[in-house]
Parts: sequence; structure tokens; C-alpha cells
Amino acid sequence: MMDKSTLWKFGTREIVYAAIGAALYGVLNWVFNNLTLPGTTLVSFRPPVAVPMFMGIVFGPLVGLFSGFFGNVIGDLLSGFGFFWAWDVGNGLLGLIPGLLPYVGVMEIKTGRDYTFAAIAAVVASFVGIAFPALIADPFILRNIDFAGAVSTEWLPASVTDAVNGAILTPILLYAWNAYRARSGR
Amino acid sequence: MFATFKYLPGQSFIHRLDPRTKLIAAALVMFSTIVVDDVRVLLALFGLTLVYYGLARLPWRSTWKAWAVVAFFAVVIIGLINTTLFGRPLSYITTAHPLFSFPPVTLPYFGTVQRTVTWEIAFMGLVRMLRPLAIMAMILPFTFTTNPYLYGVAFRRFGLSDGVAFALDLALRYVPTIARDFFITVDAQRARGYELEAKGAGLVNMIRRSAPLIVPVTINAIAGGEEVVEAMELRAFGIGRRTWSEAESLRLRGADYLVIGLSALVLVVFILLRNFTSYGPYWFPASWFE
Repeated sequence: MMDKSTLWKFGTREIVYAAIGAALYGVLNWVFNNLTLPGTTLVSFRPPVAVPMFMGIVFGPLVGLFSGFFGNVIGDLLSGFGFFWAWDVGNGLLGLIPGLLPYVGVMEIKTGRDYTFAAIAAVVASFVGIAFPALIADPFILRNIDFAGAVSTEWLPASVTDAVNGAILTPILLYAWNAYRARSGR
Repeated sequence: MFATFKYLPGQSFIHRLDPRTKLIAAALVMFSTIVVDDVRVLLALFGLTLVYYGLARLPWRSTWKAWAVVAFFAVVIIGLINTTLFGRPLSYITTAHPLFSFPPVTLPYFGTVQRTVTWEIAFMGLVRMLRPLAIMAMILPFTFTTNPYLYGVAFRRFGLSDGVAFALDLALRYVPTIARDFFITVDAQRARGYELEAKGAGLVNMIRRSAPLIVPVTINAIAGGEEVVEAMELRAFGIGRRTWSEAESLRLRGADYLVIGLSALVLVVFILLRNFTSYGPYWFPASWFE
């Protein structure tokens, strides 16, 4: 159970789960980028985005931030794409923002209401997290693109995809995690 | 299918640089691309970054995919879509030499609109296309010439905490295990009749169908984490400062200072060009189009 006093702790436990989260996100990104899925040529398929969101909710915002940021770095390293630092920050925010659920009174995910809040947090994280690389870094820091172009070609496609993936898969992961904990007595 | 990092061992000039040098040089070049808007200066910078890239002696068959991604972003997203549909010249540009116009379109509330792309807008688009290309020429050598198992100690030497640096090191070491577990899960689910590739089911159902792959891999990975935590705590992890055995191999040498110095010099020169000459701000050769 998360509580606000320990929310920002980054001890041994958080280090290990941050590492696991980053490796998971990186490997799953690499796999889903490279698997050919018939009939999906025009659809960007990003189910692994639920992993940093899940890690943030269960283990805290710093674990979510690390899982998203370095997970994206690892995924790009495995794919041989190089670094896109602004998108690494955006993916870090995808993990950090859901970890802030205790600030809206959701300490533990148990009831239907909690699962709904988790799905809403995933949607909010998608739009806010992707806003950094798409609406701030690319148009104003790296100066690659106009703001209107950034909205239509980067922010909307990426954040809608991540929001749909996160809203569906994050509650499923949380439900499976609760079932595992109940069975194992953790 | 094996999850392997794209690191290519070698003895080139770039291979022998400290990882911190490569990151610092890439960051300085990134700042340099932002400082100027002059296509001539950015072309020169792109040429310099290609020289740096060439010094890494990376085989094309290893890097073509990364170049294809950034070329798509630069040419299609920035060049074709953004510049053509949304591009505008800088506010102090008073000339307008038409390149081509779209057919007039009638929109509700806006009336009839016609988008004209000018040469001024095209030059701005070219400037923007060159930026990610120059940055990629600096980033790819880092990716392909740096042993991933040095990332943790490199970040530690940058001043990050032991915890963060160790977590990165641990994450990289977990990668082969998680990849192996993923493919075992795929085979096990297929043996139970699971089909990821089933057609005609819509996006939401496709996402839900990825759950039988993602959920077991995630839960299994986390379940094993508690034992690692206990093992580390039994060994007094975090009580004192950690010693990094690879730290001795990371030392800045003459070549590192040379590369960092040259990158910093480029940035300083660009700042001076921007503020004291006509070679930094946006340049458009209006006389070519008279």
C-alpha cells in the first residue's frame, strides 16, 4: 500500500523494481516494434506503454519515471534507433504521473472505483507525458517543427494510442498483480 | 530471437573515447543546431558531424534502420507534412517567392482558403530537417560504440547517485532474461491456442489480446524481484558508498578533451556567428529568385 510519506522513497526495493520495470518496458517495446502484425499497417500498436504506468501505481512515481525513461532508452538501444532524449523524458512522465494517485486519495487499487481512477490516470499521463516531447521539446527547444504540425503529427497520434493502450491494459495488470499477491500472501 | 544490444566492439577513434565524452559532444552539437537558423551554417555542421560519424567506422548494414527512422522524421514529418501544411517564415521575413499553391478549399467559418508554400518557407523547412540529421550523426556513434555495461558507471561518474546508476546497470543485465521469458510465454500461449495475429478484430480487441503475453511476463518478472531485494539487503547494499569495478577504465584522456573542446568551440563560434555576423540568423538568397 502506498502512502504519501513513503511515496518518493528510492531505496533498495525501488532500485530493483525500477530496474525490472525498465528492462520489461525496453524488451516489450523492442518486441512489439519488431513483430509483424498482419492487418495493422496503419495502426501504431503500443501495448507495453502500460508497464511504466503499472510500475508507477504499484511501486511509486520514481519507479514509474525510471521504468519509462530508461525503458524507452533500452528499447531504442535494442532496436538500434539511437537516443531521442525528449521522448525518453515523455515516457518517464508516462510512468511518473500515475504514481501520483495517492495525492487524489487512491492509496491502493482494490475497488472498481480505484481501477477506474487507474485507467483515468493512464489517459491523463498519456496526454500530459507526450506533451513534453511533442508540444514543448520539438517545437520550442529542438525547433524541429511548428506547433500546429506537432499537435497533428506527433501529439495526437501518440497520446491517443498510449491512452487507449494504457486505459485497457493498466487495470488488467493491476488486477493480475492483486490476484498474485492474494495467492502468494504478499 | 535474441535481445542483443547493437553495440559493435571495435578500435576506432570513437570507440576509444570515454562514454561521457560522446554524450557531452552530442549535447553540445544539439545546442549548436538550436542556436542558428542559417542553412549554410547547418549544412557545414552536418558535414562535421558526418566526419565524426565516419570516424566510428560503423557498417551501413548496422545503422541503416536508425538512419531510415530519422530520415522519415526529417523528410516526411518535418519536410513534407509540417513545412507544407503548417510552415511559416520567421516574422521579420518580408519577401514571399511562391513555390507552389494548393487548390483553394472552402471551409466552414473560414471561407475559401488557399495555402501557398513559398521558397522562404521551404528554406526554413530545410533548416529544420538538418537539425535531427546532425544530432543523429552524433548519437549513433554513442549507441554503437559504447559497451552498454559501462552506462551505469558512466552515469555514476556524471554525478548520478549510486542507486540510479546501479538500477540502470541492473536493468541492462535483466534484458536477456526478460526477453527469454517473453518468448517462452509466447510459445506456451500458442500451445494453448492463443493467436496474436487473429485478423478483423479492431484496435481495442487487439490490445486486449496482447494481455496474455504482457501480463504473465510482467508478473513473473516482478515476482522474482523480492528475492533480489532480500539478497542485496543481506549484503548491506546501500549502507556505504558503492565501489564500481569498471570505474578505473573510465578516464578522460587527451582525445576526450580534444573532442569535448572542439564541440564546445563549435557552440561558441555559432553563438558568435548568430549574434555578431549575418551567418547565424535565417538566410534566404532572394537574388536567386528575382
